[in-house]
Amino acid sequence: MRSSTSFLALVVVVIFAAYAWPWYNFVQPALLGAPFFYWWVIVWYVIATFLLVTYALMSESRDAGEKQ
Amino acid sequence: MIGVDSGSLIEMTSVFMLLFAVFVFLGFYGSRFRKGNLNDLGDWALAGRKLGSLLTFFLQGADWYTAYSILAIPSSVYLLGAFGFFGVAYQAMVFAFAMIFVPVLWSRAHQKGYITSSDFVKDRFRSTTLSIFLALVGIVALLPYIALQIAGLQAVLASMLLGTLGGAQVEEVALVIAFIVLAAFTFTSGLRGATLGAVMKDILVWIALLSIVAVVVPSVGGMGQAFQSLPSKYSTMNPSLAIAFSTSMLGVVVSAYLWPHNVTASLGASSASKLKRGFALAPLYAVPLALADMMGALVNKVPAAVSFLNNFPPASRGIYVIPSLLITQFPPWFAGLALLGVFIGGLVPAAVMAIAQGNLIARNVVKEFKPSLTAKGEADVAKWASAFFKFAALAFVFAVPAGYALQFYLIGAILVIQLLPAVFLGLYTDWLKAEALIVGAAVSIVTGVYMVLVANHFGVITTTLYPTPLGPMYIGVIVLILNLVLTTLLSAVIPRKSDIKVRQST
Repeated sequence: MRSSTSFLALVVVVIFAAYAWPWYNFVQPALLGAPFFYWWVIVWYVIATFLLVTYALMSESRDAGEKQ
Repeated sequence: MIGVDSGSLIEMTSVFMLLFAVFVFLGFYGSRFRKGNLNDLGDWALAGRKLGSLLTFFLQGADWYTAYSILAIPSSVYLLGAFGFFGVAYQAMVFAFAMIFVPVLWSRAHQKGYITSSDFVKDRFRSTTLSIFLALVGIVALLPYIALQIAGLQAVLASMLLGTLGGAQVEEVALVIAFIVLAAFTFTSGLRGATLGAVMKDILVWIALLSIVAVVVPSVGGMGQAFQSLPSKYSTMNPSLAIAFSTSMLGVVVSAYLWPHNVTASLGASSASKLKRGFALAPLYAVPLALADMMGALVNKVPAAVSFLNNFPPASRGIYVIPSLLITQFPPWFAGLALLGVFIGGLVPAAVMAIAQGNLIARNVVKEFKPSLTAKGEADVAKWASAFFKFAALAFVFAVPAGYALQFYLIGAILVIQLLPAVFLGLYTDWLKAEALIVGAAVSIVTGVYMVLVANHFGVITTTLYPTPLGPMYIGVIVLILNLVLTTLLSAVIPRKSDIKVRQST
């Protein structure tokens, strides 16, 4: 399996682990006054974007490598 | 006093109309943008597959983050508390899941010239019956979704015109005018017009939502104080709703990129890697949305907004949360600008949805019965059909009260999720049989609709959750499992066509 494909599998598993079951349904620790339930969801958008961008760039450099 | 004073009303509506004119100009100008042959369906419907990663990002954002996210989710947080936040908590999963299979679909489509997912299904399973059936499922599923966009447009107009003489009539006339203009520019410019509109929509919606958060949070004394003094349902949800929360999210996650308009917008990307970049950035769009959705809770601490909301009946009040904050907390010119953003936030997705319906009708239904249809004829059918579907949805909204609209999206998703075996699994295997896919989807759709009716006691549709021994569960996920089981079992027992031929010849 290509390394970028296994990385995507890992990214998907991590993102689903963060969100799919609401184990984050509690109040403390709050961030800027927002209950954990809310800020956990929002902070993970940023982490997920970072992971997905990393994957997108990885798969592009692979494609570029194949063309040469 | 209800509504705003006449000076403010004029200021607000002038800015609104001025910016609407800019939006319309962009829509028509779109036909000259990255110019192509607009008499060709691929060109009209997919913008000639020339969209780069930035435009793909804007279009994905405009297409996916619709009036549902901007108005309906704050509404469900307002009405249901933290549980309503499921409507935004799935966003990162949506794009992670899309990243797995949509670029694969893009590559197949690029090689073979597919415009819709039914094109792919027809080729993959060698069955026109299956592709026609799935095209019709997609078209029907989109109708309530478009109707939801229109309900959002109505809410924006109703909150601007609140308390004015003849406001209700003005609202209907304004809505019809907006739709004629929208139909005209979709007809001329196709996906290009919608994409330029999408850039404007995304920018205005971001400004509107972030401004609301920046103004409302300090005015309620910070989030900590606000959440402490609100009922506890706003801080966390009742743990018994965990399954409902999880299944509602997962149902949306797996169905998101089965929606025909999302396929259309994705296939418009100029390369698979530009599409991947667009998907990778899309979860960022959810940050301002999630913050705005929290306003569904905080609005209870803003007295002016609460008294504004009290003008509407309790059950349909939620959809006015965002407009009420814009109108009561900002100068009229800014409210006009932001409300226009929310307004085109419903118009742009409605346009892309109608384009997708037009594609499906032209390519996967009409063309099958009239194979002599030329490329221009195909594009013409799609253009007229997309105009027709917009007005059909408009008529639907005039006939059905807007308060019912919030569940429309989740009902449409129960239908569209049934495309998963053919489209998603079809990318990886051709083991499933066309007959099995048809029966699996048909039985699951009938069962799903019936379960929705039972869950609502055959009355007004207020929920898409079904009471199970484990707790309430999203019907879309239950019937998807039914579909997967049926399709697999039937595929195992139906003999392969090639096997039959072999046996006959021996």
